[in-house]
Amino acid sequence: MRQDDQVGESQDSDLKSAASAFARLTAEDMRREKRLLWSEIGIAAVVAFLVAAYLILR
Amino acid sequence: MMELLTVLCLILVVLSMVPTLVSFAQFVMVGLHGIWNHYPKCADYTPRVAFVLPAWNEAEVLGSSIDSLMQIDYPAGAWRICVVDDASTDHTPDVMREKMAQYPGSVFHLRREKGGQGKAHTLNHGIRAILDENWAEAVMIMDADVLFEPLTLRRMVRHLADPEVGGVTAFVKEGSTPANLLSRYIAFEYITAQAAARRAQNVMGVLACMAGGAQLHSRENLLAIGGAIDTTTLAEDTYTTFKTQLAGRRVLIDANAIVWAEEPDSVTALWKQRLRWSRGNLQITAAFRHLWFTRGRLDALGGVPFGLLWFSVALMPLFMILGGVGLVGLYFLWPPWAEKAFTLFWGVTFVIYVSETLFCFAIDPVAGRKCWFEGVFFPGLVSVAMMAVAVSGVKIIGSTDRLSPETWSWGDAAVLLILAWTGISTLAAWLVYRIDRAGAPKWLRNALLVLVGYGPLLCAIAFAAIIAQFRKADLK
Repeated sequence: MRQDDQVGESQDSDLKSAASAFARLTAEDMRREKRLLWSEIGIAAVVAFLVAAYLILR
Repeated sequence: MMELLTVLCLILVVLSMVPTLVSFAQFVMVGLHGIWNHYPKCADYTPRVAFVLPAWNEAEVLGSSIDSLMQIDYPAGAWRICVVDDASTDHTPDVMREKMAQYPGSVFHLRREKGGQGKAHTLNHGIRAILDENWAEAVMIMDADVLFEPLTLRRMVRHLADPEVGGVTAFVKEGSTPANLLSRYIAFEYITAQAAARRAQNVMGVLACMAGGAQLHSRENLLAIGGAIDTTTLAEDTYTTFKTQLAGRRVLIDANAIVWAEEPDSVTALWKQRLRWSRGNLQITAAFRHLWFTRGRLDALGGVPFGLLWFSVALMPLFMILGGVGLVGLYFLWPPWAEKAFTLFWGVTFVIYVSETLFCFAIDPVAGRKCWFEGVFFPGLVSVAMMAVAVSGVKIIGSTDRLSPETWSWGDAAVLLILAWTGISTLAAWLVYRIDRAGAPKWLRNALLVLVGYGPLLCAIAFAAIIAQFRKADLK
């Protein structure tokens, strides 16, 4: 294998790993945002249930 | 006449609930950020970034800030740090000489021999130098004491891959060590005001402010807004945020991009800092007076939702005082309605307070574990007690008769105090500030702060800003 090819391959692999690092980071952040949505839905459901129970039992 | 006054008092009470309801609407939108966010438009983009650090006598923190910036995870040679030394009289030049030798070609020292014009002028000195050179593709405006996490810059720049985005800000977290009651209050406040509120503003498509501690601009954006930041107001970061959006570019927060800052450790220092911010926001309100509640091309910034959001915060103390006036007025006019209005006001506030506090803990569980007490008592022990009274069904008004000199008792004074608390809390918070300023021991200040609340303290500062701005007082 020529030296140029080796350099090219190493640059390719650097680029690929940078791209996968970016994809991982962004996917992780998007997951966190989704988690927040579900947390909010959960909290809203619990609070709504408690408010409804309070209003009915009052 | 009495009926008319009663209706007016009821209107005041309902009006005073506007900030709470607006804040709730904003919190509902935070979750929607899980669906509507900018991440799908991000790309693996790593522009050359120049950091601008304004520094005046920051020698103590400058070295660690530069070291932290040099540790970030970013392609080698693609970022540089430009410290704009505003004629410091401490050993800043020595620190800079050392850091320039340690990081050759990455750290630069721009010294202004004549300083003292303020942060905005200092920043502009650096921004001009950076834009004159053709190297930087993006500029990060920050404070000298702000520390970046390794991946913060990567998280921020990816949004600039979208040419519609002109600026990106980060989640500034309170990082004082050792932490104290005030710093934990600030930590919780930043979850609500940044991690939550600004996510919601991302969904709305309009941001009120890119934090001055971490403000990333594309080169094109800085040039489009005149190649400099505003020097006419006390809130140059907010002004720049508005200008960017008015120039047609989007501004975003990436709340997963985190920077750390040390905030004031006394109520007096906090008061001074926030008074500056609040007065700056009032100046912005006046400077962009033709924008509010207009429609059309600038729908987001001039739209009703953003206007409500802006004025709810800027005029919060007035809303609170009006609420107190309304409840007290009802007590004099028609006591049973005062009871109903009290229950409605504090009952709704309780539901929103519980929802928002729990959600803030979910947004930042690590900080939430550290500042749960400050989160729970953010409105103050007295206000929490008011909410408890409202939802418990305990009657605070015994008689249904109108007040008269013959039936007056000390019980009425107590009821009036309870009803007027929304307004009185602002005065009480101002007293906490005066007591702190007079040099009271920390335990006393802390006890009073928990009793009165951090929220009312912010309200009192906003009120002081309104008065100072009205009187055109000098900023001391």
